[in-house]
Amino acid sequence: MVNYILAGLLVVTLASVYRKEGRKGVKAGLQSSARTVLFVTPFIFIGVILAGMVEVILPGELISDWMGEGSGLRGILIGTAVGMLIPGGPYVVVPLIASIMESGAGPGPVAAFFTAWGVVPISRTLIWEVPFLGVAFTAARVIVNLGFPILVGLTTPWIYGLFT
Amino acid sequence: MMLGMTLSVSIAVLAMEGWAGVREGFSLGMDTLRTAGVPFFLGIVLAGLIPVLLTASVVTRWMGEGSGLKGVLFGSFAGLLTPGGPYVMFPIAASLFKSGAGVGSMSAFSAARQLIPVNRVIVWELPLIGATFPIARSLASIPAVFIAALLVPLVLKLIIRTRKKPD
Repeated sequence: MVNYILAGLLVVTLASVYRKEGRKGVKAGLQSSARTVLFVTPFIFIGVILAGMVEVILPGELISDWMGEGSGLRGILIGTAVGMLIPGGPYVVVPLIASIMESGAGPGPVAAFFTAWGVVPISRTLIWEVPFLGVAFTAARVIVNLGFPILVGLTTPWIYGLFT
Repeated sequence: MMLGMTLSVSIAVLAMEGWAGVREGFSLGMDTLRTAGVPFFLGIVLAGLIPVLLTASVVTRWMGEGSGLKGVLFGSFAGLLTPGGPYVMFPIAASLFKSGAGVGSMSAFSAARQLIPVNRVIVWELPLIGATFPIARSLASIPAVFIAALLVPLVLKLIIRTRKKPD
């Protein structure tokens, strides 16, 4: 599904570039892309293997046991910690969230977990963000965003409660 | 450094789970590559083409330093709509930075893309978790986007100032 969206965006972008800058523009753009691909490919390869290895050793029960309904701030902090540690994309994390919610995890800890995984995941930040955006911006962004899992973890149950 | 990290974690896996664990880890990694390879490639090509379209003057005008609330809103909007994984988001972000986007705008871009990406919510969250929790979480996350846009530039300035101090 994502591929279709991206392919569609790509076609539109290529057409717009061609219309604006002609063949030369398309060539310049693609050359810049090629340089990026060459630079990044080794990182991707190593990164996915690293993530795969971590996935094997991360204990699954930790999540269900400690993030139940009513676990309060402790549950939120644990959710935050786990979210920061877990590598992998939405195809790993979202099904995990669905299952732990079914096992009784509360909306607060789960929101903290999901937020932490979204904004301050250790593996993605070191493997992807620093190479592309630099240490200074990444450090500044991480420092500020570190507060978000707790913030969202505390406010989500309240909003969730309004709906249920 | 990455190679070192990968090797150390692989050795840990070997110690804890044996060769079967290492094989599993490797195959999980290859699965990711298979899923992520095509979108990554498309994302990179897209990121390379964006500077041709969104020239420095356009990006600077709408998202540059000092664009204020307008820059934050545009950054957030772009972030909400950016699909794919980190292999798409970060090349695009780097590309926007290079074209003159400001730190505030890009902080909003990152936060929006990481907290409430339209693609992830519609494709993954709604089908698997339902509507109530994702909507509650998304609403709770909106203030965070603006907090990021406000505070990250300040923290960055502090970091740069600390770096410049002679030891």
